[in-house]
Amino acid sequence: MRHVSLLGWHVEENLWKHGHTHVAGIDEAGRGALAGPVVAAAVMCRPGVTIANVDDSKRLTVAERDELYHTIRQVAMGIGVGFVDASVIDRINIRQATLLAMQAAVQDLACQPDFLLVDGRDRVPVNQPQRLIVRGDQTVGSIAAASIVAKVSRDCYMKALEGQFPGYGLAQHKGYGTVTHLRAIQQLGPTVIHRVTFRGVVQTASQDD
Amino acid sequence: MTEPRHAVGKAGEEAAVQFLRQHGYHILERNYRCRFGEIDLIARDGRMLAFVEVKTRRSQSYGPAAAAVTLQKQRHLIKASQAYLIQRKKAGELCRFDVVTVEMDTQQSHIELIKDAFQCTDD
Repeated sequence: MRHVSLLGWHVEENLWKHGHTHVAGIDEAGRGALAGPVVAAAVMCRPGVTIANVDDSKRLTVAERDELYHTIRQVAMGIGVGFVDASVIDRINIRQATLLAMQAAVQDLACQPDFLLVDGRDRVPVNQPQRLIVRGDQTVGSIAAASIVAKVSRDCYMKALEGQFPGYGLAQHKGYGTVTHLRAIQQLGPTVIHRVTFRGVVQTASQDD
Repeated sequence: MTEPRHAVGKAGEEAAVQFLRQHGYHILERNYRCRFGEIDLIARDGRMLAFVEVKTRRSQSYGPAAAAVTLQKQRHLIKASQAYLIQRKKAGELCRFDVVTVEMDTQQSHIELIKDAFQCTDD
């Protein structure tokens, strides 16, 4: 059974009413994965134009998410995405890497926003005023839209890597720590796309001997 | 107002970068822009400099992605590459043009590398 959605657009509507014309929602995907990049997206909607049925990407089926991605792309005023590779995640830690991806997503927007709605607790290192909203992906429309764009983009990327790193099942689990993935790491060892500082990768890889 | 660029296109470009690194390419530039247009990737592959055009398609429905590198596009790339060589003082380098095609689908994705996809024939 699906839970009642808490999602709304009142945060955006309030900002639009106060003269902000370029409000962007920011969210990330792949923070907890053992392999692949962390991907952030920024979605900016025209004042007064909301997107029906968006929800936290984790609460949608693949088909719903895919369809919403196309709708977002048609309706939104701007979309930006940022990728930060596993090697960088290992070097600067996942929290900093996520913020870097979010910064890249904002900079990727063709037209710069004048206000940011960010999922989580951390300020994105850009100059725009921003509001940090914990669980924003479940409550704020444009953050939920960003979560969908980030997720779809990352999934496509991971599916494309399948051919280069066969045997890990990347197309299925997208780098997350499933049983199949952990077993593959144990048997085949970690690759360049694995986050070797993540406990799941380190422990599993060393179980071999 | 133009439609926002496909985020999946960006994902394809990132996947292409990862693919080329895996094949020993050292990425020098991304989205190099000059007045002749844009070069998606400029990379070193051994002794050669490779100018790489990345073509991302969501499915095969519009024909193979490589076919989208039209003759006009090739001319633009050649001119832009010459601008790059002059600007970065690399005029003597051995060069070639590669195309990476990324077929992106919700079901599966596929990357292919075409080395030396076309040549600079005149001048």
